[in-house]
Amino acid sequence: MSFRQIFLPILVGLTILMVLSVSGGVRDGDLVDIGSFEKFIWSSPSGLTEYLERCPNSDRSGKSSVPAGGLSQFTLVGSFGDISIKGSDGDRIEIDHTITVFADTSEQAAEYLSQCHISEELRDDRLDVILTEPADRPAHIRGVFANYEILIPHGLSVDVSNQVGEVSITDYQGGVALENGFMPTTVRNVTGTLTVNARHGPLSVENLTGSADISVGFAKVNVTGIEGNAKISVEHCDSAVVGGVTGSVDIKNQFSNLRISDIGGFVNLDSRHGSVTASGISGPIDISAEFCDVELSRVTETVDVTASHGQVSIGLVKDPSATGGYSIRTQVSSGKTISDVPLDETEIARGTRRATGVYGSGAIPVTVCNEYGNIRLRLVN
Amino acid sequence: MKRAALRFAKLFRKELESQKVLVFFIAAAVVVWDVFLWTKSARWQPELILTLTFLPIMLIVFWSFLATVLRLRQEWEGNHLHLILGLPVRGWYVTGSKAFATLVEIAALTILVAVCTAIVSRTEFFLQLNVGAAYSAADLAHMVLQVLIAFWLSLSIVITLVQFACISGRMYERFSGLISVWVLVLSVWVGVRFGALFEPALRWLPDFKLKSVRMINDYVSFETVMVSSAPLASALLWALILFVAGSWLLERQVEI
Repeated sequence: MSFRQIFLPILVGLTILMVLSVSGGVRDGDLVDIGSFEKFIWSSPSGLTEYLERCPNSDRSGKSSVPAGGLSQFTLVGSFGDISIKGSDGDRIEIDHTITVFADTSEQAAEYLSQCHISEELRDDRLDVILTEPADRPAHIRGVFANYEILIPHGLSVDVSNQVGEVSITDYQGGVALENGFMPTTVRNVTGTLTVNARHGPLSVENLTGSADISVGFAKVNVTGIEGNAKISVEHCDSAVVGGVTGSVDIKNQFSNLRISDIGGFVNLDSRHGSVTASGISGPIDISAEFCDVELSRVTETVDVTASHGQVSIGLVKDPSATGGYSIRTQVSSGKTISDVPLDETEIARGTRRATGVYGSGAIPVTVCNEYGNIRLRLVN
Repeated sequence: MKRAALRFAKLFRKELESQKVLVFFIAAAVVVWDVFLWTKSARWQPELILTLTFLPIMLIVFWSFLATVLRLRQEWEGNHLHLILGLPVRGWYVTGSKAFATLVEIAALTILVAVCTAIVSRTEFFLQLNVGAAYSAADLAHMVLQVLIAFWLSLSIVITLVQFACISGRMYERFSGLISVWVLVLSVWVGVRFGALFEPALRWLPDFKLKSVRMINDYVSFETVMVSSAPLASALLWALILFVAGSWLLERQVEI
């Protein structure tokens, strides 16, 4: 029998095995343990943590307590690990930590662990907490994680930076600056100025009293309940929800589907590639959008939209006595204005049409310019 | 030994000659693309320009597939495979020269893309990123070199897989293209399982070390991010096995 005759049955056999494996008839583990390999191939940090969980490891826990008197700032420089921070009424910073070292053998992990420690450095009025380990990490050390549970007296400025791990700060009164990636970041019941930079991991901000500066990328974001102003930058987020802000909101959006609701103040939005849906905006709205569909419902304040390569839809309140009516001015290039309100339309240049009209007493100016897209003005209850 | 090297060099030169026109067009396309981006640099965002300068990398990946297929196909299309196999050389001279020629073209095109990227992306943008302050020139050169080596090694795996699939298809007179695609899919699937089996045994190999910097307030910390080389090494081992198998198939089993 020639090799050619053998080769085809080999291919058929392997194909059956592959189909069974893919369809779940044969579990991957029955063939070979591919978990770690695939996780490494794709290099996803969450996959990395799953991979590390299979490695021999050694851990050590510890507690420390530092008086907060005389301090104005607390800085935690994390890398891999979970960080949980809560406000306390006490006068000391209480730090519970667990260091876990993953290595090729348990002995190697234990030996390296003995060289790792959490250092607390006092610098004038600032306390810096950081995991200290030898400068050169040997190749057989696969990962070092430091998990923290920290109680901080209210009033300090908290600055936390982490690369991979869950970070949460709850029930705290004081300024907060957070940076995290690849895992959930949660801020809840905080009173003070908030600065967050989260990448590749979902961000949730709930019940903040104070101003917020939020930057999120490649993840889901949910910001609800801010008593103050917010500056928000979202990029490549499947879902971005911003709601319940009493002050003004300044949003920059790229490649995200953004939903805004219940904003008490001025909304300034710059959006590229994605979609924007806004409702319950009590303040003036200024939107600049490219390659982005914009939908505003029930506008009750001044609206100024400049858009291109997208559809703009605006809901106008039907009852003019409730709002005082609208003074409408639209301009479209390579598109058209479709309006429930009668408008006077003129062609001001080839392919560019301007329309104006007044609804009710025309109290609220609505100005919309769109290129390569339509404008839809709807009357809604 | 010297004679063997000369024979390999002659085959290698023949392979380079055979695709030089297409390679020239790809190189020209890369330069034209970067000139276009350069003309837009005053109006477009620097980040966008930088990202777009890397777009030709996709073309290079595509070329690794196409060149491998074209180099094998020409032997059958030109009806001169029997002449090549009639030479007093082993099968791996033929497959090796083809794979090496494709790899050399890929390396040259990658360097062209890297140089064009450096020229087109404005220097101020990198200064804004504070790259210069955080990394020394030696650090940057070391990192770029590591990334390039990992890229080239990855594409050499692709070349070997495609080459094996093409040669396997050529064993049969009918449905050779379909069989090649079938073999390619199976090679990838088996390769992943093979890699999983051998990856733990190769963890002793040195890791790729990438230096990263973080700045929080005035706190600057440097970290060395370790990327294991074991998965790449096990994939290379699988590619080597397929290369040997493909060379043997070409020498002994294919339909001329």
